[in-house]
Amino acid sequence: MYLFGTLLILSGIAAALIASVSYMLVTRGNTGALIYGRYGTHAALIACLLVVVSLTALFVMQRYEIKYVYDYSSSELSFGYRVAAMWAGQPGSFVVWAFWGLIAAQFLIRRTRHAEPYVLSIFMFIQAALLFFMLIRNPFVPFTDASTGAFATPADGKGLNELLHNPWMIIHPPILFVGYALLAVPFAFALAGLWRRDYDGWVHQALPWTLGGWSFLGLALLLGGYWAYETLGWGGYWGWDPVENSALVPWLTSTALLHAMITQRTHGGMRRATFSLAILTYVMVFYATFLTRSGVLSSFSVHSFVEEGLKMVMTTALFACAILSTIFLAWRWRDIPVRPLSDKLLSRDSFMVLMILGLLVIAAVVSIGTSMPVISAIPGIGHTLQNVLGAAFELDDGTTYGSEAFTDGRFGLVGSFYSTTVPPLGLVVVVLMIIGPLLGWRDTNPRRLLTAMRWPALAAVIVSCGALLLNARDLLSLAYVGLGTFALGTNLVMIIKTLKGGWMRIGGYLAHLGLAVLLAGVVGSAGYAAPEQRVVIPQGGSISAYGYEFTFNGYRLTPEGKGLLDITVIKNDNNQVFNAKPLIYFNERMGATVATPSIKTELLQDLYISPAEYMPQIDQNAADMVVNDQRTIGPYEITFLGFDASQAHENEAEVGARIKVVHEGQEYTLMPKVRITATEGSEEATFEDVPALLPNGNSISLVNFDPMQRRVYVRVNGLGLPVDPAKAVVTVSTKPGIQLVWIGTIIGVIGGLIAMLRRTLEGRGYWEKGRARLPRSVGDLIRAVSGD
Amino acid sequence: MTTATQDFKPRGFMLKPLHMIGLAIILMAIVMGYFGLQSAFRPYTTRVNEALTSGRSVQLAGFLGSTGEYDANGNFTFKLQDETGDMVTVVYSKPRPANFEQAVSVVAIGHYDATQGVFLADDMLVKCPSKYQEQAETALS
Repeated sequence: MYLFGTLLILSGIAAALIASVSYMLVTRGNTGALIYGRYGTHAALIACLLVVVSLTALFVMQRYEIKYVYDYSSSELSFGYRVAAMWAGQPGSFVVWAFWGLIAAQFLIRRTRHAEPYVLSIFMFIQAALLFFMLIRNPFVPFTDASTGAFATPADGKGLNELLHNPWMIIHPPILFVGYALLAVPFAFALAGLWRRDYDGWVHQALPWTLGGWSFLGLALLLGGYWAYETLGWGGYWGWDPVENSALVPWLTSTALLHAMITQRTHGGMRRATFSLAILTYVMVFYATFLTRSGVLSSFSVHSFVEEGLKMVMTTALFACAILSTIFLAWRWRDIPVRPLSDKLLSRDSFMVLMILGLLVIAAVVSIGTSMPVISAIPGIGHTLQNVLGAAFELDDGTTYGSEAFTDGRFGLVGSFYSTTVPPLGLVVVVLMIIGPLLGWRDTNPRRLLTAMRWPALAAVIVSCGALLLNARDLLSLAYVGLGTFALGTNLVMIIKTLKGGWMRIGGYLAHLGLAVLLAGVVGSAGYAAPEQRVVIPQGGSISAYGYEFTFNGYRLTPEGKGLLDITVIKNDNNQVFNAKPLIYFNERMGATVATPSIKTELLQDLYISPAEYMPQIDQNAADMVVNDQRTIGPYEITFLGFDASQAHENEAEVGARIKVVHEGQEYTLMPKVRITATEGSEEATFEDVPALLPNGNSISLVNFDPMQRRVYVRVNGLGLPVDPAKAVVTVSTKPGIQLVWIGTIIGVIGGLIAMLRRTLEGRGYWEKGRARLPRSVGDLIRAVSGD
Repeated sequence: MTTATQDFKPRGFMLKPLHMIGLAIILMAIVMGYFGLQSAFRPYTTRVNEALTSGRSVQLAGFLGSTGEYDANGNFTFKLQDETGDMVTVVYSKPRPANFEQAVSVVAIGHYDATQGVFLADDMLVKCPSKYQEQAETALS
């Protein structure tokens, strides 16, 4: 299997390289090489498909003699998760990424016409590189026994990380890699355009691919966030973790890219910007995967991990990619015709410039912040920066800076950096989004602009007042609510206006609307949420919080052996009853406590219940002891000495626990017993409690015992000490409007896909008939898409 | 009569409202970045000594010096040990992190409180020996 698998990967790499080189030869004039290029691309896809299939088959067949299968699956996984475990590790994720890319390559062959050899030469090289990365962490390596070094077949695998046992987390990686794979297309097109000196045509062809990549990347970010919210129990969906941030950055730059492309497509401006942004976006995609996989952030993020071997190769690849494409761009820079943009401020041109600037600034802030550990790890830089910052800053979190740097030199930035810097900048982008869609490309009639803004402005004011009354937290939240509503309004106005020209033109405005809805959800669930409260509910009792009454019914084990806290929640307003079942359990494989929250989704908000702890009942009258344990119950000091078993008659046996009791300085040795009587003619036995008398008139009983563990459970009767009931400790919070976050993203993605569809058809029209007529009905649409 | 048309485009650089807004955006980012850095800066250290003497918010990396348990206030606490053997008690206000018992190394993010004599951790990263595990941690503060 090892040999076969490795050969498959190698043939995939070889095919992709052959394709890339052949296409390069075609660009030099050797048309005979074209067929090699095309077949090389097909062959690469087939090889990659075979790798995917064989790797998945190994997982499904539970072949633990392959180390990769051992590391990520186990026999308790269901079929679906066994398949999904294939991409749980590095090499699997690389092959899925390459797989999507190779599928895209097949479509590129048919659709790129004159640019085909240029685009595919670059594109196939990228796929070859991805497969090469996979080869370094070859997944077909057999399992070797750590002690002997010989090949072995373990009985069971290590198992899939418990947190990945979730449908959302399963589809998140493939969708993410679709996004990454598609964003390589504008990159390849841009470089091809520079190569061929075709500075306009590439945009028409690359735009649909960019929109597709953007949509899928956005969808992937949503899935990751939703999974975090639903599974992890900390109540949030975005943690500003380096892995999240590094995927956000290409999304931001690709947003800027597609706006620049639209501008160029419309009147030819921003040519240099589109090239720069296309290159920047893919470099950022690569950087994101570099940060995640190379281990540079291993001390600064939970998502990062040390991966030997890959670090050098990925660093080299990243630098090569960035430097070579920059050189390429610089070489052609002066050759690119520049069409000046509009002079007027109130024009789409100007607003596009500002918006791209705004997005790039946010991307820079997030990117630099996330890279701080890497930047400060460069010898000298870290210490210098620490000294400079130490001299300039006075911390306001209660601690003060000294002016000397630490010996290590590295430093990181925690999440508060991003939550402080990004929202104000985001607000700027929202303002641009309010006015931008209403403007004309070159100029706008101010009166018509104001007229168009009337109703949205009114709606914004009303909503802001409402938010103010509803307990607004701070100025920023209020600003977001008001401006977000305004943006929603203006884009809705534009949607209505454009619908007259056919539904396919609304893509962009719909995406803006989606973003506005998303922001409303973000602000609502963060700015207007009730802070989380730790609630301790005794069994059988209730606690009130946030307009709900929580009753803890009890703790039990699910069939899978997970601890379940049964809590009944009653909403005070309408007496709606909801049964919450958050889970809290110790996972043997992970060696950790896992908490699964319970979320009640209502119309306006989510009620979030996260289990913190289960405190079992503590009976102060009783004691659970092993041999030689000593406990104090009331006035008695009790030590368990040992068991004493004897058989009185044939059918009777007595098991006693020898205990030493110290009471008021006096020592007594007692033996509470349990008499076991076998009933005549049946297997069952009756247990009879034979308590021992204690000084002071109380008695002590042997309630339970385990001779194997040498353990007893004794109870003192008559003392009447309190019994602490079992308690459930949960953290409750409300998240108003959080559904809008999911809904908003979905609307945005739909907008992106509609735009992608429109631009695909327009792209074809560009080549074939000039301006394409967009379809009016579904029948038209189907005809158009099938290439009529 | 022929007149020579002249290009009246102004020479040199004229500051347009567009440029001003653009500059404002960049300035805003720098200012916000400054404030953000102030509160979020966390130097990394592997010496307990350094963390103790400076008293600022740091990222302290070390190993488990004791098993973790819950103290009287319900906070999770354990002892962190560095390479030189120095130990410090860490108090973490959130529940026991995932995989804590198997930790090869632990990074505690917080600051040392001299009055209480403990390291107050806002967040913790637990490093385990296994590879590529999506160990999504508990919330950041």
